[in-house]
Amino acid sequence: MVLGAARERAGVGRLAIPFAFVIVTLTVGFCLALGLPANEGSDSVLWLGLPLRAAIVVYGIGLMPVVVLPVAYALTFESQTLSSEDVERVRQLGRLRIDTADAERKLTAGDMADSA
Amino acid sequence: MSVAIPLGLLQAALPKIAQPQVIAVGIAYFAVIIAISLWASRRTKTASDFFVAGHGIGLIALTVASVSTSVSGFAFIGGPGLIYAVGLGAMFIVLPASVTNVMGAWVLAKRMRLLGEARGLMTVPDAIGARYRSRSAQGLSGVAILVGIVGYMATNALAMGVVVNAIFGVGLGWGIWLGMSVTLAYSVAGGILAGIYNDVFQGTLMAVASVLVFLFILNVGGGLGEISRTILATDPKFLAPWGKLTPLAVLSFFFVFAMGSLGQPQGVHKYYMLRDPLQLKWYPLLKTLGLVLVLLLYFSVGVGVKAFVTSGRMAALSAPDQATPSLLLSVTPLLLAALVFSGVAAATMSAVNSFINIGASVVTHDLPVAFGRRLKNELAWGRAATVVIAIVAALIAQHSGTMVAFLGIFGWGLFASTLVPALAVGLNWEGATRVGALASIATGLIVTLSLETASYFKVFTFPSGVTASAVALVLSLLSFFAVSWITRRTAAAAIDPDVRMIMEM
Repeated sequence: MVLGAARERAGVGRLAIPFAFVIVTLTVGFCLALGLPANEGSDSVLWLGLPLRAAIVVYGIGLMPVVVLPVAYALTFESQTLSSEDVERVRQLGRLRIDTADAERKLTAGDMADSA
Repeated sequence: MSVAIPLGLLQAALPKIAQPQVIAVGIAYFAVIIAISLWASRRTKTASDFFVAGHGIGLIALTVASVSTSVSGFAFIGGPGLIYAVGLGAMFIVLPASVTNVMGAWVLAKRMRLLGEARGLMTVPDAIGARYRSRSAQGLSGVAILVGIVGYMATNALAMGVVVNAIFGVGLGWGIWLGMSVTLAYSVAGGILAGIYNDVFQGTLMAVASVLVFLFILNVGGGLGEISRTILATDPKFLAPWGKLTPLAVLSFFFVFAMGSLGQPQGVHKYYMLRDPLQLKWYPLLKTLGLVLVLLLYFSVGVGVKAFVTSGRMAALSAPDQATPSLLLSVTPLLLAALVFSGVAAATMSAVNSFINIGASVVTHDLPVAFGRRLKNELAWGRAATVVIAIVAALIAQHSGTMVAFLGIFGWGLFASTLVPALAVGLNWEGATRVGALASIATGLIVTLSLETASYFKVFTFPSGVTASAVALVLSLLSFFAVSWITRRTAAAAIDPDVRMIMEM
């Protein structure tokens, strides 16, 4: 993900914060789920309807990144992912490729006509 | 996740629900699909229209369609059954969805969409061929996709037959051919355009059904807290973070389903179709929210049925896969049951359509390109290939017995191990080489097929529930990096300038 978000060798810029947040959330979430005592029972305290370790997995690992990463992606989209200038550069490249292919085709057709 | 393993559907002999209201909902569902398909067929005039909807789909339509393709019957039947059987550990199949959509957007969406813009690419192997300037890499990845699709298609065709039979009571064989005929009709006539707009309808149906079932279960069960208390009183391990699985097994799920999402052609192929690349801005957020809605049923039915069976509100299940059907038939109103069963039919048809289209593009585009020839009329050949692939899949579904389940098992893992290194890493790392890509695709193919076959026939399984797919993906990545490093002198020279520019953006 970090590899994909890095732009022209300039790193991930402002995305470092949400990336760090999610990495820490996932790591801490897994560690807590592993490390906290397995004492679920009928008298367990419930967190949003689930025992603590289950709540960490479902809400922490499952839902927390949903709130952070896609929003960070959208907020940094123009600066970090894709701008209208980028798209225009690629479209010019595409047009150039089509024009070159057309010219080569015409040249080939002309050569064939000459040789005939 | 669409591995979807409609395997749950295969194991669950769904009870017959052929009653007037259910049949009426089923007929209405098929009527909408036929209407959309007729409309789309009039707009399909070129191979680009047929395979990538002319790069002209809007953001909302593409998002809903992508959600629809990402889930399958598994999310509605097999998944809840798996939670019922092993507890919360089964959630680790769907939890990666919190990061996979945005990961796909960063790693693949922009680059594939821009490659489509610059070169008019239409298929996933097209992108691999362009990245490595290699027809053999394009061809080999096409073969890998085709092998995976055979399994997926046959499994989904059978699942479709099971659901159609449950709704209309026509028998499994007729169910397969009826479901496949409808899917085939819209796939041939309108190609991916019909598929996308049918997916929009089907995805909406799935989300509505999922939310209604979720709310219904919370209401009947007295809220999530009350449901948890009921379960904790008799089976506290069910609500442990890994359920009844081992931590290694669930981490293995998390790894395969997170990384593997980057290699699922039915998902990444859709990046080509977005009308305006700048609309990618909201794509991950909308898709993730859509998936959360559709997966509410996965969680709530699995946990809810466990509580209802524990409290005696429902009879004990004959098999875990009966969780959803039993809940729908014994607890929910009949119309809601009909809606959910139509949602399951929608999920399987959506997956089948997507795979038919991708398979046809491999046969009529990627393989000819790999052999240095291009077919003159790709649209006509695409339609013909669509018919052949669908018939082959239906025949396999009808005649291969338990082997069809095996075919479905390795689909996700095969796509992951063959495509993730060459495509997802390769489009982001200039050090990747053509030989490295070929090595990783070949490794993925051989290792996945070998390990899954050994695992299926119980010749060999990894300890602690580690999946064969996870091991195959790791080995494929290792071979990709190792061979690319050994052949690193050729890396820089093997990238075309336009591809390099897009990779650096």
